[in-house]
Amino acid sequence: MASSGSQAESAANEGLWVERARAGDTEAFRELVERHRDRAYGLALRVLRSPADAEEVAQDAFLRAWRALPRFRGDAAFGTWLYRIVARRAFDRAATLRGRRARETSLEEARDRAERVKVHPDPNAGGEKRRLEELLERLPEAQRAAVTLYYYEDRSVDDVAKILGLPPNTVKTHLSRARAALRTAWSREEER
Amino acid sequence: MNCAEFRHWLDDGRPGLHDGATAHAQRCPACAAALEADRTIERLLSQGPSAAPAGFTGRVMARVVARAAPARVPVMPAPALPWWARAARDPAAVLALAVAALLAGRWSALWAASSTAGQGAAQWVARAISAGLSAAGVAVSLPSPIRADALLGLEIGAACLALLAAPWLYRTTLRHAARAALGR
Repeated sequence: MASSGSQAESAANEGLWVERARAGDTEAFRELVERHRDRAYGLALRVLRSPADAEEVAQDAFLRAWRALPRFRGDAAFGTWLYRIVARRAFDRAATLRGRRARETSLEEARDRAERVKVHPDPNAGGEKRRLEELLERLPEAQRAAVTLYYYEDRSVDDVAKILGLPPNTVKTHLSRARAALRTAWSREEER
Repeated sequence: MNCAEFRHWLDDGRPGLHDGATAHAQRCPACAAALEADRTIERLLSQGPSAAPAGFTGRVMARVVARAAPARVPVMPAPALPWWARAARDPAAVLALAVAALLAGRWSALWAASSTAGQGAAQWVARAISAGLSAAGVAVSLPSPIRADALLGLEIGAACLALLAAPWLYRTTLRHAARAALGR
């Protein structure tokens, strides 16, 4: 009960920050950035797998949110609205990067990509977490985004669907396939 | 529950407490290992990916502040001019004043000029209509001279057209002034 009370208080506070930011208060917006930066960056990183690209996308999303705040009607929570912007921009960037990689097939590019995969996992993370990040690398972007929002963000399937702009049944399919692929790969590595 | 059904239950995110699944995991080591893997993955996923890099908020806010000022500037600032100066910028007001001054000062001359010009224009229009009707095989005889009430009608029509055009002229002038103020 105490937890739900503090959650309600936090949501009410966030509503005040949003109202102030809508009126042009940059300090209020700074508070919103502080609250959501890790999750926004984390979602972008899960989709893009590159810290530099993830930061750029997360920054762009915050900037876009700032510019669009006067039109934010508050139908959804600020976080849901923001993650929708992050997800859309991350998918757009991923598509651009895919196209670029398809064109650039030099050895240098292949080496860069390998470096990026090696560099990405958090060096402070434990072995299990690093292993999971490497397995996530093999999933399609939409599946990575779906599991991130569902597990890390603790969002419902409907919320994930709204954020990703997909039908709920498609999200369920993404989650189901991601679980199966991760579990199979995890078990296979355990057996080695 | 068999192995396939058990894996399906795992794929669905282990919905609810399922006695059949628990019983199956107890007697099938492969499915028990899969359940353990599933729980580990779920725990790790809930920990989330890396935190935003140091200085992230500062970099975002620098971009926000850089964009903030132009986004909040009104497109057309309210003019701090007296009412007569603002009225003088209104083309419709200028036109009305000019017409009022002409009517007050030079009424008789204006009436004579408009009658002559109006009569000439009305006769020209009437001849054009008559020529068109003759070409179509309809014989028309023109009254001569043009009646004064027809002239008055033409003049009233012209004044209405001028009144209708004035607001359009005013809006166009404002639009151009706004573009010039924004430097576009």
